[in-house]
Amino acid sequence: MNKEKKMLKINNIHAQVGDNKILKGLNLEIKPGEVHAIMGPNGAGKSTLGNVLAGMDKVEVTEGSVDFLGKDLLDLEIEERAAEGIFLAFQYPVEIPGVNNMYFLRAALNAQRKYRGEPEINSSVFLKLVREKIKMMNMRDDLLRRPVNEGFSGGEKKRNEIFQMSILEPKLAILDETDSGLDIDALKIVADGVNQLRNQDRSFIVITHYQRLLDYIVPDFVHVLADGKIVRSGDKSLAIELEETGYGWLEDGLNK
Amino acid sequence: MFKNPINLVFDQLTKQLNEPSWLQTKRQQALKNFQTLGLPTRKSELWKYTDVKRLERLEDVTDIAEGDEHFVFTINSELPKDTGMLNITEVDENSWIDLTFDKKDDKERVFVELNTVMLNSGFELTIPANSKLKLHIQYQQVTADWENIRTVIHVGESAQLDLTESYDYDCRINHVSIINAQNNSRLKLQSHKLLAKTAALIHYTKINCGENVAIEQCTSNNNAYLSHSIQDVDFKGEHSSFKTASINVVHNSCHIAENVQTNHVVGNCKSEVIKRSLATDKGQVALNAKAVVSVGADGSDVAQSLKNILLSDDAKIYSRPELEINTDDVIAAHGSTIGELDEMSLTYLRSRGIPKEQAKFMLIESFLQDANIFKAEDFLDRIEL
Ligand SMILES: Nc1ncnc2c1ncn2[C@@H]1O[C@H](COP(=O)(O)OP(=O)(O)OP(=O)(O)O)[C@@H](O)[C@H]1O
Ligand SMILES: [Mg+2]
Repeated sequence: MNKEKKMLKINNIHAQVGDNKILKGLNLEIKPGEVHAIMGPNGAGKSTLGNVLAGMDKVEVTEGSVDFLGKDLLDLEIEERAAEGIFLAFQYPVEIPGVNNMYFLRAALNAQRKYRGEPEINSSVFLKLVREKIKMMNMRDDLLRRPVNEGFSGGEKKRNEIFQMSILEPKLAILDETDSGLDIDALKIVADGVNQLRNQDRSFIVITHYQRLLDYIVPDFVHVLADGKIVRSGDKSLAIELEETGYGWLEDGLNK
Repeated sequence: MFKNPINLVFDQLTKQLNEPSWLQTKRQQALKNFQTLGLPTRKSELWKYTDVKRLERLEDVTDIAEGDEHFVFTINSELPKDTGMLNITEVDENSWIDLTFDKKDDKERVFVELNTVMLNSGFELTIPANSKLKLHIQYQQVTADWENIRTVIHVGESAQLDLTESYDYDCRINHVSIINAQNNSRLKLQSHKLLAKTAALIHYTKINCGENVAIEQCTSNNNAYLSHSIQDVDFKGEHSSFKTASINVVHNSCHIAENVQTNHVVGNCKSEVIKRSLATDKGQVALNAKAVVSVGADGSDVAQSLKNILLSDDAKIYSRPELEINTDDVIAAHGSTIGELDEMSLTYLRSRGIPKEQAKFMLIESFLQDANIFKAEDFLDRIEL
């Protein structure tokens, strides 16, 4: 791991949807190569954090800053953030009838390459890349010929997100409950997919409710997000502790 | 179209033409009908959203290609020897088809009368039984004034026709098409109405289906100051099917009106109407799909799917699926939606790095592809999206 360089610095972020204040002064720093798990009760703001980083329009950032590899992330459009290396695996991937999965993915990859000043990838090279990754993800290849996520089962959608990630090779991947809805085999496959991409330059934010995923994707840090802030941080043992204690202790803390 | 008093135009026209007296009589009768009926108004169902005055505001076409060898239509294919082809003004009196309509329908179809009055070109084509024909016909603007074209195609029993029609980019055309599809015939009809923002096209089509006929039709409409079409499809024999798909894409102040009525006079026939429309700027699209199932026409199957996307606040789309069912045993499905591009889909595409405009384009393309029933690779190639 590269201890000197910073990848992501989230500084005192406040964010809201409409009048609903969701993130209330959140801070987080991530270095290249690190895996950070984020846990916390329903409605705490975990997905909102992912949305803020990926640039979803609905969320409005009212205060704070995000530095991503030296750039002001909040200043960039959604697609620019993607091309800079941010990837959000959605908690609820969208179905897009009529847009073929392969066509979409190649358009995405080439758009990112163009943004970075790299040459376009031709279809045969792309096909080879896809074959390789789909094997790795143990995905049925007919899913690729279908429209994006249309009629996919819950688990297939999640796997498709990780498959996309493996093709796009982001610098920072945010996995929003990618484990929920997966059977045990699929969970291992998804975790393998992530682990194969782990390297000293690539970082992950893994949002999950279950420490089981963290047995496969072993995090460097575990954070508890509650009421729009990170209230506790620790190592993997924190996830094990949470599995036993739940979040009851938060109530006590917050009420004080 | 109306700049000159119509009688005067008619006098001039008939004087010039060296044609049989029965045709002159037809023209005179049509003129009378036209004068009695008058132009359609907003009260006419199929003109409710179309301003007929648009026709008055059209300038004559100035940019006409020079030369003698220009015909109103050209056929870009070889015709087999046994295919009968006659110039429309030279047909036999007995083979002339009078199009007559119910009282409530005739005013809406009054341009058919005007077409007869001013008729200057067209053909009658007879495709022999059991034969196969592939045709590409281009309709051209050769005068500064309107071209009034009448085409009649008889498709013989068990014959197969693959017809592609296209229109000059900047045209003023009033076209009446009659297609008689005899028993067991197969028709694949493509029409490209890819027009200039100053063009005008009035199109009336009558399709008669015999027994066990299968017709598939795909039309692309792009722009035009006014492009108005009415299509009447009559099922006269059982076990026939008619599937029509169209896309309508308008920009600026363009106006496209597309009306299709399928008449299930007999039972056990299937009609399917698919329309995908997209309007930007101040563009307008007016759609009407009507299926009429007669008393006793059991086993009819009708489907209508009209989907529309508005890309600007000033654009307008009127979309009306209509079923008139007078018997019990019918399968019917219809739907009409008007919306915007799906924000969630757009965001999803962008989140993978696809720029906003490209993402919009991808969604528009996929939306319109629903109507690409012949899976043509160049389906959207010449369309201004
Ligand atoms: N688009 C929205 N409109 C209104 N409220 C929203 C919207 N998005 C999020 N919220 C609200 O913000 C809060 C945080 O939502 P968020 O989805 O970030 O929670 P989460 O921590 O991911 O929860 P879960 O574990 O259930 O996925 C919730 O109370 C939610 O109802
Ligand atoms: Mg969530």
